[in-house]
Amino acid sequence: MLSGDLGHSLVSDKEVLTLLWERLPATMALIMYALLISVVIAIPLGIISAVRHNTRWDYGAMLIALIGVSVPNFWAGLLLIMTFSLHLGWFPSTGYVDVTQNLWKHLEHLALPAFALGFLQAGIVTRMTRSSMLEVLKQDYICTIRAKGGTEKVVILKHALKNSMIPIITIIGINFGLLLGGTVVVETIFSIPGIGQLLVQSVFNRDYPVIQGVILCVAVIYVLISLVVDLLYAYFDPKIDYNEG
Amino acid sequence: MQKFRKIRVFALFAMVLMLAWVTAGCGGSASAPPAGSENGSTTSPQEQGTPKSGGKLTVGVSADLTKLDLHGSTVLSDRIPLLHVQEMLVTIDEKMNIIPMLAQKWETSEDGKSVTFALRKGVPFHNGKEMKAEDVKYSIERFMQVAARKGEFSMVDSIEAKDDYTVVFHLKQPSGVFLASLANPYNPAVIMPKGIAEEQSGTITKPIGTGPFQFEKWEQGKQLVLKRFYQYASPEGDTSGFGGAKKPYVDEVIFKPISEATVRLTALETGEIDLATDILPKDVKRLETSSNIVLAKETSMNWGYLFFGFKKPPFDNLKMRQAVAYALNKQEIVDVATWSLGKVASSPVYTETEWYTEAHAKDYQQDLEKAKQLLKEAGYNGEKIVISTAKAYDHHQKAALTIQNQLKKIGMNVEVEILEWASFISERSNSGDYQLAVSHITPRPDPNQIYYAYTHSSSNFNGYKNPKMDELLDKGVTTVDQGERKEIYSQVQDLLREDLSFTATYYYPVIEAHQSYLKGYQSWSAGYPRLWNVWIDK
Repeated sequence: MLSGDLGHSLVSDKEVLTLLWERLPATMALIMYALLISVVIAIPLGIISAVRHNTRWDYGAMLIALIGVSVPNFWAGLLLIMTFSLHLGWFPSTGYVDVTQNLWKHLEHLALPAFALGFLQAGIVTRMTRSSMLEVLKQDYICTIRAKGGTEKVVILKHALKNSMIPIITIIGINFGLLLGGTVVVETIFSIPGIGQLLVQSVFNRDYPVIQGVILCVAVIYVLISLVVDLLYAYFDPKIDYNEG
Repeated sequence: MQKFRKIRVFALFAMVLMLAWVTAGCGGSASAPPAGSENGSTTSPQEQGTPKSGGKLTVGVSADLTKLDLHGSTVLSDRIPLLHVQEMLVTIDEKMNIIPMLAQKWETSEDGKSVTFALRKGVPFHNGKEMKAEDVKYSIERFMQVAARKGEFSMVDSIEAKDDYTVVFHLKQPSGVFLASLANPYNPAVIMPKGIAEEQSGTITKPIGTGPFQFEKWEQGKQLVLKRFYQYASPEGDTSGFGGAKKPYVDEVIFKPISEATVRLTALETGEIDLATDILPKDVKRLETSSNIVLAKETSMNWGYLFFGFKKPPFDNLKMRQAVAYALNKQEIVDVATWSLGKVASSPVYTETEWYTEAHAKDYQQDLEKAKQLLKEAGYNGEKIVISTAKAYDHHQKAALTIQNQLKKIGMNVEVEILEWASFISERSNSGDYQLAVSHITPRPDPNQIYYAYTHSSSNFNGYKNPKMDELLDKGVTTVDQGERKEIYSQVQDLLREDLSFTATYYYPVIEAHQSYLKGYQSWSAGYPRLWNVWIDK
């Protein structure tokens, strides 16, 4: 295994490593867009609900977050296909185009699945951003900055947000695992040739070497992401310095 | 600070990407008009017009291929596309009769121990070489080594390439099933160029054949692409089954695996695919009202079954089996499991094949009083009975639940156990470890292929054993005269109905749907979509 030989598929006789390499780009692209979507939705929503605490804005944002957390991604996926593919015809309902072939089509095909996947994450991250921001906004140093004449923009974006990022980053890192799990369902619904779909097919075919390969691959990705999260801590909190023992 | 700047640059890039994604969505709306919207009128399949060449045909299928080597495959999703690429020596027509394909004609010697095939001349492979006797010899010999179905060729002693266009099969003993073994599409014995496997280092990664379409590429999980084969030499005669006159019209055929039936249908409605296979019966009503989409449905030869387990009580007792047979209302099973689109099956032999006789039409009629009486005589006291079935097909579960309900009416205490497909096959079906099992079996051309595997004591899984049945089945294999064989399999069915090793319950429908601009398409009760003689008119 350490030499990179994960064996051959029992069904297609292809090398497991080749199968993973073929499938990984689609899954990684999907997860990246899903993360991006979740962050783009969640952080502004979280900030708004924290700053306008206990107002209509807050309730609205929390309602969206609640829907995000509650809707299972396969259901969201089917609803999105019905609305945006079948009725509006804006996006294709299935398939995948590689980024090197056609960037435009690539994004078009991944838009709906990424949204289906990202929306759930957005709910979780919004709630975390909100509570973390509320905590920080009560701190003395925020009061000090306001007293020194810092504008609201400086207070919120430069000081409060940055200081509340640690738990947010942590939850995004943990969510990455959830996203990897979510791809299994979403890739099957949208027929995206990623490792989630590969896993489902291999389970149905009892193709054990491939199942092992996919699980190992997912575990490795998860460890790498945890590492990246740890490294990001140092950026958001300069007190954490990995250079000094 | 340098590395933070990098992160910012990355963030900016991500934002641009996000913006691109949003606009991509808007652009899509302008470039994708709804498919087949040129007219709202529906044309009957007869008024198809003159065929046109060219275009690209995308087919949405329910599963991806597992491999590209038909000799080593028993999977339907491999056969559907690859039987457009490779062909057999003899094949089956619309009603499962055996007809010529690459062989023009054949002759059996008087002692019945050698069969001589005259090959068609001037049939090119996709690699440009002409198909000759050596290729046939190589292909069938390879098949007899690697195929799951190699047992069906156990009567073959040797294969001789007499000259370029004559192949002789020498048999160990006369056989009534030899031709059917050659034509069986389940794990098909297709003809490939000599040495192809060795050239491709043992496993076939680029299938080459004589079919109307040639293999282009397979992107696993995404698509399989076939190209029109311009030099294709078609057999003559009326198009029927896999044989007869076949003409490729479209330049490119793409098979796209879309496992979710709902999504497959949506892809058809949005025009991303031109033909969708395996439409669920529940969606038929909705599709019937659509003007751009044409439904192609046909009762299939796929037959649903109820098997009795003989390896443990209580169905080792004939009275118990008879009680169940009298409790069943097969029409109700058809109504529930197939939304009334299927057909009641009284025998696994399909009504429209030449093997169907009166013996296959007879069946038990529902008689609840008699069923209750039989239960009493068998000494049944409300012990728990389990029906095992699998999750993979919606109609299996529905059939199992209907049967459960019907058996409850005669006072049986029945539960349904739903397993994953692979577990159902290995832990129940193939081990015979069940009381009742519900599933279905795909069509086979010869009744021997239907009955032998599931009722002969040497090969069945459920533990049924009757020396008289074994004798009949063995006789069916060695008898050469097809009229006599027809009589034998009528007797087999009569005996089966008496012994109740299993009972066929329903024929599942083949339901496919395509865009109205796709012309010439015909569904087939054997369940294989065929994309020759099909053209795009838009």
